[in-house]
Amino acid sequence: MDYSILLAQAVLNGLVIGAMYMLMAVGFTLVFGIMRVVNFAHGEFYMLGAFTGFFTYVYWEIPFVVCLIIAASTVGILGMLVERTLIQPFRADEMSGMIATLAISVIIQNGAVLLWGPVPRAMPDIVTGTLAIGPFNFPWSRLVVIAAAALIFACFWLFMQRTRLGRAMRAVAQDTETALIQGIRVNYIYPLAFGMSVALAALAGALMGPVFSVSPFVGATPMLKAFVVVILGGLGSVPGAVVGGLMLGMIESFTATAFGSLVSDILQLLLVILILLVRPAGLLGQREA
Amino acid sequence: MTALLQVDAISRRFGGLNALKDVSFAIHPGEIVGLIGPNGAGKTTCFNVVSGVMPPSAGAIRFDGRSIVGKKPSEIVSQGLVRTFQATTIFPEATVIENVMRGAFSTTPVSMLGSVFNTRATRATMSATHRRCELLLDRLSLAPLAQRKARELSYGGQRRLGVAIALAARPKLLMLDEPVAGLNPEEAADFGRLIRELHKTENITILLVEHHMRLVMGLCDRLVVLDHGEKIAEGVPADIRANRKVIEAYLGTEEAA
Amino acid sequence: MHGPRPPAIDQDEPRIAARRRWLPAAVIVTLLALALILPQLTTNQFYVHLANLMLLNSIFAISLGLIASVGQISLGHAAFVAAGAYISALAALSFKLPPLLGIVLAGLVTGLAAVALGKILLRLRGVYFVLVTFLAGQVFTLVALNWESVTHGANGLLGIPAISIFGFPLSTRLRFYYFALAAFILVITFVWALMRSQYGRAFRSIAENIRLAESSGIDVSHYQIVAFALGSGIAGAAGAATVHYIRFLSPDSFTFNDSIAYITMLVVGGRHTLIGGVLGAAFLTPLPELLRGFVGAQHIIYGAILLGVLLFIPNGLVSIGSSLWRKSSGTEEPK
Repeated sequence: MDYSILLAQAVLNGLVIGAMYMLMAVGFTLVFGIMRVVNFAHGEFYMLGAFTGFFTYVYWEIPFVVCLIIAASTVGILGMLVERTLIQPFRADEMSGMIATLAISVIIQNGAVLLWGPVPRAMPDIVTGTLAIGPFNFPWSRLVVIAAAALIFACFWLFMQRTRLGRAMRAVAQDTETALIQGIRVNYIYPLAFGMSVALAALAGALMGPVFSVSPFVGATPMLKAFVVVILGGLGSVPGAVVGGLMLGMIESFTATAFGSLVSDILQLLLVILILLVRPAGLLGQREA
Repeated sequence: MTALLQVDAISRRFGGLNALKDVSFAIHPGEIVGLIGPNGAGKTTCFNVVSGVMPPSAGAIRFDGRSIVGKKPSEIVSQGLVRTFQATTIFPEATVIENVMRGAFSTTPVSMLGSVFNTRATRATMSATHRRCELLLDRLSLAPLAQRKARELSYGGQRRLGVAIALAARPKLLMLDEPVAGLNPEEAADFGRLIRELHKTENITILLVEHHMRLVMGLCDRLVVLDHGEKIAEGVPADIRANRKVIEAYLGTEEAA
Repeated sequence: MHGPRPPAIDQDEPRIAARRRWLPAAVIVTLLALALILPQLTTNQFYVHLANLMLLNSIFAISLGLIASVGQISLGHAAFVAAGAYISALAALSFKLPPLLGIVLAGLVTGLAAVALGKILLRLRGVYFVLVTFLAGQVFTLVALNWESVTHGANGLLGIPAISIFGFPLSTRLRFYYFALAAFILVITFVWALMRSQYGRAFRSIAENIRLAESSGIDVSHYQIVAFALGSGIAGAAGAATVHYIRFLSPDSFTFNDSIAYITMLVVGGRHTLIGGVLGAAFLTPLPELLRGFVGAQHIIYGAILLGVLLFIPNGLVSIGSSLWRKSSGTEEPK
């Protein structure tokens, strides 16, 4: 086997899963930064996104872009409702908020099993064929995922930097009290931020549906990895989530190619512990004063 | 006379920012010293560094003849340097007396295992501590409220409870972080008298961060003035009042009170 | 500033004080007598089994409550339970170690493991602590599944011996019941004594105001590690006891779902009291039996109960009981 082909494949796979981890971690870290809520149900919104993508694409046979939009908007609205009704009451109590999201995760996951059954469903590729560059063949289905994730993140970044709403969100993340004084309505920002965060998770889920399969349990791994990423990158840091996500994707892909996926998973955890020992607030995180 | 607290050229950087730069001062036993300066002068950072909440980037701190740099706040407390906080001064859900018992944790000489088995020795020590805490409450006129939950106290009551918690740790040096912030003028004056009284009865040395100029000028033997993280003046209140640098520092902001 | 409040109704005080003293003792004696006699009156082995699970779950919830008493929550609690179970089961199968010693060994090893993990997490409070306990739990399951030469992977370990006391095997449900009851009483008495001591004072101080605790001379990281190690050690020992009762162990025996179940029991019963975990376990352990008609909806109902309790009775079922108690004894606080 040619090593350069193996290497190119590892890079491509690393980018694909790295892109997914990035989308997951960005949303997760956003909610923590703004609301100080650790959302243990984040992976379930990924799963709902995957199912929405699956049903709309397979049964309605509409263009995949439309499927993505439907997945993001339905899951986003659901997220806003969840925030309003179930998370808002715990604003002053981080611990209870965290336990509440655990409960929400249990309910959503088992609800999905009840509705759709536990058996994984395969989803057809959205594009076929490969891109040939010299000796390397890259399947379009993977390249599209990377491009879409990059585009989604670019939109998110522009939104956070250029719009009033995005700036307001960043202000709340930096200092809730000052933001309140400046007249930013937190009760309005929180559901929006939460909805946006889970919409990003849903997009990741819908994008990965064709790559992996779709089942009520697909949210667990991406959420686990999102935790690793935010520990790597620092909780609350969006740049940290991007760098950490891509880095973790690459590390995972290369170590899995070299040693198998079990060793890869254990190595990732050791890495996390190592980093926590050296830099308790993550690689790019700020130390809490 | 040797100093109780000797702060020697301490600095503290946050990222590229110098929050404290080469600050030195000493506090002698029995003094009441005020640490003042306009907003953002580095007073709170200085407090945090001295009490061990954060390490200095450079410099030495000696308390009672021993270096305390790099020690945990809890160890520093056990040596007799105790601080209060501006905002979080109490344990809200516990009773008032329990708050003070918690403050007396490091000065309650029981073996931890003995306290699990509730031995005779433990019971004797605990009841001695309990009596000491009741006396403290009495001195801070909180005794009638001993069984109330701390969060039910008035704002002024909570501030006094904060001081009682600190005193329970038997400080040699008590560091008060803006003790009268948020009190009305009358309460603030009362608090000033209380501090002076405790200074006498409890035989303690006091370092005080405060914005309330009248209180500081009336109470302190000596003042240390910080601005932009550096010490700009030190001396008795009358001299500080006339110091040109100090006046400029305060006039530059709107803190001239 | 408030003046001193008027004292409570004076003439009632001696009566209430007397009642306060004898009533808890009477309740404890009655409960103990019932616990000793009741299992003898039933011929239905399933009820005894349920009682055993309730006692074990109570221990798991109490030990988690110990960790929660310093303001932390472990999402890897089931991993410590599983680790204890594996230690004792493997020691019994491979080295013929008597299960009673195995239980002690399991408690010690899991407790020390928690100390090691706690030292790493020393500077990590709150959220990071939770995330890392979660990750550690996941890794444990992963290792147990894949280290087949030792754990037999997903096939699990069979033929784990029952506990035997001086040659008397606790091989029936009823015999194990009395062992579990004794273990439960031991644990609850220990934790009660601990929480009453200076340790408890330190734990509560940390949970309520971590900065003030540190500046009151309480070594916060030390006591957080003590609580984490004791809670995890008790969980490990109880896990070992469980495995000598169930006598089968696989990586699926104790998973993340069980960690959530322990949290649910603790929260539903009441996080801030010793009895809370017991009440939660007593309420939630038989629930699956009552919900037999709703196969599949069981977990959803668990989740809904957890959410409902968090939203509407944040201090758990215990708080309902204690407010009734206050009303009946007339010592309700004036608001």
